[in-house]
Amino acid sequence: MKPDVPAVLETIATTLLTEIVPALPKEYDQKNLMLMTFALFAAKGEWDGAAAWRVEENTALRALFQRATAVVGDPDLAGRLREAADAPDSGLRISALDAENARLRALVIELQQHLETRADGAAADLAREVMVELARGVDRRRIDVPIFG
Amino acid sequence: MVESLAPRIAAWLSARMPGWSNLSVPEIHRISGGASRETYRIRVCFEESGTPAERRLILRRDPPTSLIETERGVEFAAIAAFHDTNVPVPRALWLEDETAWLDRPFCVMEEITGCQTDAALLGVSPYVELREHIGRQKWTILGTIAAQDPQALGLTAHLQVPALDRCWRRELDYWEGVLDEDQLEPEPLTRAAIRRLRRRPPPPAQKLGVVHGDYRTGNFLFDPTGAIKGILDWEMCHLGDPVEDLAWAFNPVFAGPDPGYPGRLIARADAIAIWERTSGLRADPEALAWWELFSAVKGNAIWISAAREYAEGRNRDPIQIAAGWFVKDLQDRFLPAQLEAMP
Repeated sequence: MKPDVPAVLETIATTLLTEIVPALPKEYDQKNLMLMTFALFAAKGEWDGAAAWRVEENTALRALFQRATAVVGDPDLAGRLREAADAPDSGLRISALDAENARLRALVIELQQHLETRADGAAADLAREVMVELARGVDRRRIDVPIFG
Repeated sequence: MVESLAPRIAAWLSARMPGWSNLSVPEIHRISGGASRETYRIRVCFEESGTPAERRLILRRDPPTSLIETERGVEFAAIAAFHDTNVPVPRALWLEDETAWLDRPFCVMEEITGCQTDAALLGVSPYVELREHIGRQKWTILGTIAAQDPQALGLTAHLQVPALDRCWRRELDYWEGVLDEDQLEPEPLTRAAIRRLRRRPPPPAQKLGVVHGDYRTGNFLFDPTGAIKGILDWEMCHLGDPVEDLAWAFNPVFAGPDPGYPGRLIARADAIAIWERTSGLRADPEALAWWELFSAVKGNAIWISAAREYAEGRNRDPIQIAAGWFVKDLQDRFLPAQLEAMP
């Protein structure tokens, strides 16, 4: 059975960090290689959940847009929100999920801009909901590298 | 190879300093950290009037592309302007715009020897015991920078002079423009911050000051006794609201483990008190809150530019990965709470 990708990345990164980095004679090269190993650790952390969090976020944003159609007064924006809410992901490749995520997040910006022009309670509630979802997005993207300890 | 630069630097110095004979560059090392310029530490040996001599220099060369696209002349002018003040800076020696020597323009400064810049060292002995001492100096020096008269320093000849009530707009316009140009994907949180900042502008600057532009732990040299010997990396220096520098230094991405101790040194409240006492200015809470949210926007513009440089293959230095991926991630973690704090 082949080794898991995260295990391979972790082994390589750890070997580089503990054996190769200290053996390099130049400080500049040491620091560069250290940053590269941090990238490997980050890639290792991203590997397993990469598709899952993107699917989760795209689904959450579509649900948000579905609720927003009842609040948004602008018919053009409401129509585009409804269209985005109904469109499924075009595949499970990371590149496809990222492209869809970018499309949805661009629409989030438009939705926020619209809500900021309004003073009513429904708009304020939805604006708060959007911010909560964006904060969740930060947590989903969170990487763990030992660089800022 | 870095070493291949040595004879070219020697040739340039020989032309620049005809009084230096038998000149050689026996040591050259690239210094990591700065992504805006390639920085080299060099040792130069020569004879002057028949007497052997040695100089230790820092050479900063423009990269093929820059994370922070600024005029090298700004940094050189700022360092030269501060040399005879209480703000410690390296001695600025030469600015070379001619690309024939090292392919790209560069500047040269005297090296301040026996010092460190690495913020991680502040967590270990002997520096961990010196944090209070270093912190007090750090904020005193920033207050001293804020107290300067840009005109008296001669900097109004090199830098734009904004009106007091336009300082914020000039900076926000600039960094929003960087985001517009460089973003790789939509950034709803950063865009929300920009709209929030425009809806609630800060009070006008109390004075037009010299803003270092990247004042933080990591951008100054400290020696084993904890004495700060040089403030570095002035390439984002501009004239504006001095509170901007204070807010940038408080950016939580530079804080280390405890955001209440910006730059891993002394408590935020103590830092503000020292800065106010030294600068003679007030860290108005409304202005400070505005500039702190602005710092998140500026930070993200810089990190996103790094990501784009890397993604498009213009600069594959690993520091671009750190900025565009790790630091961007860290900056974003603070944004929701910062937005909530400034409704």
